[in-house]
Amino acid sequence: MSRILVVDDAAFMRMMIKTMVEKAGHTVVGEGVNGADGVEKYKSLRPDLVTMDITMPQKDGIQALKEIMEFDKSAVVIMASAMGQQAMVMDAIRSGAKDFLVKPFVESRVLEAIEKAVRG
Amino acid sequence: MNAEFLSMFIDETKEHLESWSNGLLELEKEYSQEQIATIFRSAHTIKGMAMSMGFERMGKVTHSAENLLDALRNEKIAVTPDLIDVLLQAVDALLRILQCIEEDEQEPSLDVSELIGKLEGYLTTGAEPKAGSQPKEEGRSSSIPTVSDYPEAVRVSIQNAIDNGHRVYEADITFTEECVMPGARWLQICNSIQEERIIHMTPDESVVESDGFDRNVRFIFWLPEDIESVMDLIVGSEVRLNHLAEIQSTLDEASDSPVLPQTGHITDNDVILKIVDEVSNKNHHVYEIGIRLSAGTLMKSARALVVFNAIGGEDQLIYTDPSMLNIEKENFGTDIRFVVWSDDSLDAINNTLSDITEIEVIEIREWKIVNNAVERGERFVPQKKEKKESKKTTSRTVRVDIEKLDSLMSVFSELVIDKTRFEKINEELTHDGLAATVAHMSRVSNELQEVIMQMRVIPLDTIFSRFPRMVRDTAKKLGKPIEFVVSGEETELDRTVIEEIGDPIMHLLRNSLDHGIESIEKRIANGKSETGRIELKAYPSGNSVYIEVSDDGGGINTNKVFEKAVSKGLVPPTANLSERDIHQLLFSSGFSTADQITDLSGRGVGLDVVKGTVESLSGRIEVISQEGEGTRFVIQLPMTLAIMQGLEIEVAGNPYFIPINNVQEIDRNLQIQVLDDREFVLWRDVPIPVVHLREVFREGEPSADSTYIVISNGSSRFLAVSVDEITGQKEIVLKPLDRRFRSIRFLSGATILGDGSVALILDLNSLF
Repeated sequence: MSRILVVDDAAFMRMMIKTMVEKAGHTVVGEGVNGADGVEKYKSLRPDLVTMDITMPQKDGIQALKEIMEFDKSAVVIMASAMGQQAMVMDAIRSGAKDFLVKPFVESRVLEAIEKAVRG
Repeated sequence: MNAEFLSMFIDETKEHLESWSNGLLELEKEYSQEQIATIFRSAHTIKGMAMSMGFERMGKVTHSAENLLDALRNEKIAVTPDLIDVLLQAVDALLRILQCIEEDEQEPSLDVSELIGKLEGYLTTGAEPKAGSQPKEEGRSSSIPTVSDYPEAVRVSIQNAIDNGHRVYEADITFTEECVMPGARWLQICNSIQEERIIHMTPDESVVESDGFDRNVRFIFWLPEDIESVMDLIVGSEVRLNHLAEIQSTLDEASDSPVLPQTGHITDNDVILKIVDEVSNKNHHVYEIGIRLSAGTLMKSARALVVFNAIGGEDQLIYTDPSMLNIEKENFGTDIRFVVWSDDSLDAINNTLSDITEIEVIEIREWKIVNNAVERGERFVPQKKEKKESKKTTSRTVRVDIEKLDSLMSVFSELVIDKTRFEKINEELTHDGLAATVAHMSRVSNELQEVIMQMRVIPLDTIFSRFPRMVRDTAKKLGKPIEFVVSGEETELDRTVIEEIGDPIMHLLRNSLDHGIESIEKRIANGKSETGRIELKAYPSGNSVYIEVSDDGGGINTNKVFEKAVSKGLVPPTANLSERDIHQLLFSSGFSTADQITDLSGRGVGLDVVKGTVESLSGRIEVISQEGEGTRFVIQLPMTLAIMQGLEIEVAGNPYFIPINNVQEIDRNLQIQVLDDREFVLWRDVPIPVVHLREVFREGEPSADSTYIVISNGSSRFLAVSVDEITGQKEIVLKPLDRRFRSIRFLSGATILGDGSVALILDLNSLF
């Protein structure tokens, strides 16, 4: 089971993802409340996987992703996007994101993405 | 016979029959290839299972039905109400057979030859072409052309059109003797179809326009809509249609059909040859890969990018179909074919790809250079990925006998009673260890209760799923077009409740169909749409589950109901009843008669039985109606029956419980007022009738000073209940009363208190 860092500026979304992944036996080792916080938490916690929101204050998810990839090129980051953000998602994938989810999240999709991203 | 196999067979067959029958109903509403494919698969699966269990009749019936479905799938026959009927009859017969198998573990000696005759007869005689796509012209092609029947260039265009949601047709026309200028006529056809939609034609356009041809033209074109709108424009006295057929996508038919073309030889195009050659020389492999995005994939371009990145990035791509530009613009369907170079082995590539979500690998082939030409290597069809979206995910479940669940519940109830006793003992003794243990035990027992409840609840879908069929058949019989909308079928309820509530809902639906929805003529006369609407809706709220049956029919004629109630002696003619009170009369048993009066909606027939069932489940039912606009029945049911939170009260020194979900508010300061000999309290500015429990239990006059008012909530009305004392709130285990006491109103059961004494549980619903 994986140690996961959840980065999202909305507490509700963090809670939602947390509930989903913990139900499946994963551990949420930390929560980042914005991009900058996410990068810092990544460096100190070294999680197996990160779920990264895109639109966030103080460093967006793309920038945070780039910094995380720079710090650890084997980092496993899954982008949490919303409809209409395809261009940004593509940017993220080119920058090394392993997968992406589109809100609203479907539990089975979230868990599948985590499982596969960690394995791959 | 192995009982385990049998029960699995029965369960699975039921599931498939249900999806079969529901699929047909959907299909009747809206034509869908996908739906037909689903039904076909269900029939096919049932056939396979029945055959392997040795149930011959079942096998034969499904076999015939499967043939019919196959013809339907290939558009050799059309979806007609008759066809749906005959296929539903097959479902009925199979259900009957299955029921016997369930009871006797063997197939009944039911004669199915008539049904089989019907099924097979339909195929030979009743075959009508699918409206629109294949008009009854002579020379209609008997086989359905598919994309793969065409040369590659044409094929790509056809596939693109299909992927974009268009329909593609192949037509063969002859300009008749009457046609003086076939070239000009052809131009006119081009305009009516729109020239850019013509994918391919023989002879060539220039030949046709110069009139230098044998008056026959064969052409392929796409349309965004059904062909009917265009047919009239093409066919006329000067143009004869020899052949018209819709071209089917090969991809949609079966998901294992190849994305990649079959031929071994690819190209001797110098440029590609050179690239492949160069890459191969560096000891890279060149792979041609076909993937398919799952249905409903969001952000297809981004998903495609994930795929490209996984196998080395865009730099390694040699070729993509659709083009990279179209992929980025999301201008494609579900399939992508691409050629990449890679250092990885075929297996490694496949593994990498299968770890990507939302895609399915259709095919991988290696490209090799043979004799100065690029050839495709062996086709590598990877093992099918487990379909995550499939409706029936294989979950890790254990089948448990219902009786075991019931006994678990009853044993647990005993435990809850003991827990309550412990809590009581704990109040009397002071012992730190005991206090902590009791607190922990309470928590654990709550969790345990939660788990058991979860095990006992099942979704309402289990009964809701049979209603669409019933509504359809009844509506058809009555000649009333009905739109039936079901929602909230995922709402869960205790299984014992679900078993009981099916019939009352059925009854209400029948009522709506029969008497609620007016005849077509009447609806039109009243300015309503021809199609009546009936809605079945379920939703949880608090500790209850609500189930509503509503229609947009004629509603309840209050005057007529009142008159009838008076004539039945249910109410005195002088009674001054509100509209709502009159509606409730429908539930009184005296109202139920055989001579139903249809123009008063005929409601009242058997509604007392419905009410009885609902109340026996500790629920309640209400009716809300607006004359001319419709009627809504609302059933409220407790989510669980056996264990509940109760408000402990005292009346004349005896303890009683009121289920907490019946309690809206408790107030000591409400003034009881009297108007026209009726007592009421003003609560939130609304007058609410008062009931004194002391009077109900004949315990004498209520003592004014120590009276509490408990406001109890019905689904849309309230009752103020006066009690002597409120003593607390407790978790109680409902024990049904002995048969001899069941007829006593106001009581829904009894419970055992911490000190071992018995307290009665009140059913306030009966006081309303």
